Amino acid sequence: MDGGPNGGWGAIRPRFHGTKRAMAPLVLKGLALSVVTLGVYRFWYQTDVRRFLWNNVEIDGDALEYTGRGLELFIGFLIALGVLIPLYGGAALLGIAAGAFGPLVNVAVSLLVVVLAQYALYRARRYRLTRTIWRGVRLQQTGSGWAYAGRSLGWLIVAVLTLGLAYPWMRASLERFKMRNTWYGDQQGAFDGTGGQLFRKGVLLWLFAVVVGLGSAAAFLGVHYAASQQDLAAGRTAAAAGFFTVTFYLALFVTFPLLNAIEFRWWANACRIGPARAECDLGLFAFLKTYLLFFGALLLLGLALAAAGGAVFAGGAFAGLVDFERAPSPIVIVLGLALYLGAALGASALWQLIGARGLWRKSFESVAILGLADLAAAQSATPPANAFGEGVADALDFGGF
Amino acid sequence: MGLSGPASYFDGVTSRRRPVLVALDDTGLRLSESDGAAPQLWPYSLLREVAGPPGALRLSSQSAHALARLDVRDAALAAAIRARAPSLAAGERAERGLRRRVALWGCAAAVSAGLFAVYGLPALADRIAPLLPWSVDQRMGEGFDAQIRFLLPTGDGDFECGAGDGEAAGKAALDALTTKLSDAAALPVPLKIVAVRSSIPNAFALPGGYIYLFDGLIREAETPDEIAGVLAHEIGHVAHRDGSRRVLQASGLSFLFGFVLGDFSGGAATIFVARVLSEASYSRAAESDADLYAVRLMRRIGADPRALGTMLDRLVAESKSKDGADVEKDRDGGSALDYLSSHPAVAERRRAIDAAAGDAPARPALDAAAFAALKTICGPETADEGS
Repeated sequence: MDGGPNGGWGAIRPRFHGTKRAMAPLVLKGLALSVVTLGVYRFWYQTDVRRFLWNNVEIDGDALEYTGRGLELFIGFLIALGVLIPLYGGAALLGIAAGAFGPLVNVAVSLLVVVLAQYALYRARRYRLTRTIWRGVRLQQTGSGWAYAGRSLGWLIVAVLTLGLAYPWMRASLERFKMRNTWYGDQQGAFDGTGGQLFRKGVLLWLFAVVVGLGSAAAFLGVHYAASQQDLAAGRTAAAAGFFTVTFYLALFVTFPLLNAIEFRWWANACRIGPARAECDLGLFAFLKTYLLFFGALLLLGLALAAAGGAVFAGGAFAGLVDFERAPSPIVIVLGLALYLGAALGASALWQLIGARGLWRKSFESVAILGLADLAAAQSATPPANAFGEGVADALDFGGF
Repeated sequence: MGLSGPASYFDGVTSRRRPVLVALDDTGLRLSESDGAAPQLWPYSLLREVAGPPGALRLSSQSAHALARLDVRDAALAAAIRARAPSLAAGERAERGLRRRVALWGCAAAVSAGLFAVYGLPALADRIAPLLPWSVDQRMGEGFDAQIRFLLPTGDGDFECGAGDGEAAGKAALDALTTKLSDAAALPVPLKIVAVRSSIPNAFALPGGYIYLFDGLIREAETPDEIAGVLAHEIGHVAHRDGSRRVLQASGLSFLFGFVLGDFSGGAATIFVARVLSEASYSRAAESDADLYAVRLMRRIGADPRALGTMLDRLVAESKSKDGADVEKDRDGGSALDYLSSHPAVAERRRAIDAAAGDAPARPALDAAAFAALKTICGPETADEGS
């Protein structure tokens, strides 16, 4: 399977060498510094995480390189603020001035934010690609961010109107746009997946989610009706509704990673760069396993924190420091905050170490690259992009890795 | 000269990997390819280390293409290069220095933002709130009013008391009291005082003249002036525009911490702490100001200003005797009479009220019949079952 260095006539499988143990110090340090600096350090933390993820990916014997810098992300964020603050301020003033038309203004502003978000995501992708180097040649993205944003807004509207049924075609169209504008040096990318393929692969799971969703909604309404009628059987109906709701969330929890895996496999199989193409054999349950591991670890963390908190409060109450009948004392508030912070930081660290790292590893290791030996690229002359898109994405709270 | 070893070289122009032999010369690295091309020299002083795969040294040189890379996987060779090129460590030192400055300045920014949240924002809100037109208060109140009617848990029946069977007389009494207080206060906005069907002993005001008097508090009252006093206190909050001030402060806070500083783990906790601190810093003053306003307003309608203090005392005693009495926490933008947290020094407040009240003769704000009717505005006494 694995071709030797530079001798890959057959399929070449990327490998990921980053262990949890190697990643833990940078995650813990980055999170701690992000908290004490009220988030200012997060750009450098994010850069460290990306560098770790990129540098540990080895393709045909050579590791990826991430050349982005924390300072660039920080500056991109500041510029984004310069754009977004007047925008939000103007929208707020307009909303007050519009009076009865306020809701209309709100809708318009929300649409604008959706478009801006899509634009930012596209630009952020460009930043990441132009900071990615393999064998001394940089990746590149062309194409207008606004064209992408317009296209994605149109598709979003269609997808909402069709209850998500148009989603596969939306994905295919947007991925075509993205991949055609993706370059490895002078080698252009392409995407030959179709919406129909994705639809056929995912429609059963989609139907399942819809049926369970509608069922639990019906059960929920039913219990409300029963409660309003003071029905004798209300208790039983409530139990049934509870059961349905739990089933719904469980089903959603299971179907989401499955759909993700289906989608990733479809996507990777359809990607091309120059003469190179990918073959993906990601298992249906591969992503689900990662999520399960993450939630298992989260559960353990929760239990540990609850035990620690319980012990401290019980000790405090025993010592007379904590009096539950009075207003919470500063000590209690501080302890509660410490627990909360521990939980938030712990969850975030676990997500990076188990969730994000696991999904990243599986994404690369499930792919075999064909025709890599023929991929001889020359450096593209286009300069790297700035981090404005990353900044907007961060300010709107949906930054990626 | 000495040491040499193999490495991978990428010229930064094409994606071809070229195996090279690296020799450590006096002035730099000499890279020789097997095809016999003229060797390159990378001077030690121009070498830079870039982030490479674990266990390997990845170099770039300022004398070569910006993306040209040399991957050295031979540990002995890598160590020898590090020993000869102090600029590698210098680059790392510079990066670490930058990180340290970011962390330090970030901490400083955090402290400064915290101080601004606790001292700056309340002061700013104090200056801005009086400049806003009253219509802004009214519009805010309208919005919160709709939310509160939707969110606040109430007993069986309408949110607002006074429309049910046998409640009309109570409603008339409340309206009479409202008119009396409203005429004396002469605010630029009309007062909308509503009796809320809830057994919690509470009352609060929203911006723009919305005041909520809970049935639980009406039932605790023993004289009409106690109710009038509580209402006068809430009218004080409306007149001083404390609700708008809180809204300004809260939105300033969420802007400062949620938007400018960005969302991160623990961000919500930070906002919570900042909010508690900044509210505590001024809510005491706002409460005693509202008390003094209430004293003046009660004087103006000829009622007994001291009744407010009596009522405060009774409510505190009540909440202490009831195990874990669930006093509803204040809502956004509302300034609640929350006797547990933001009204800590009731004895002190009572002293201040008594001192300001003086000894002028007083006549009850409502006659006995009207007061009896007001007590049943949310239905007859027996309806009080949930405590």
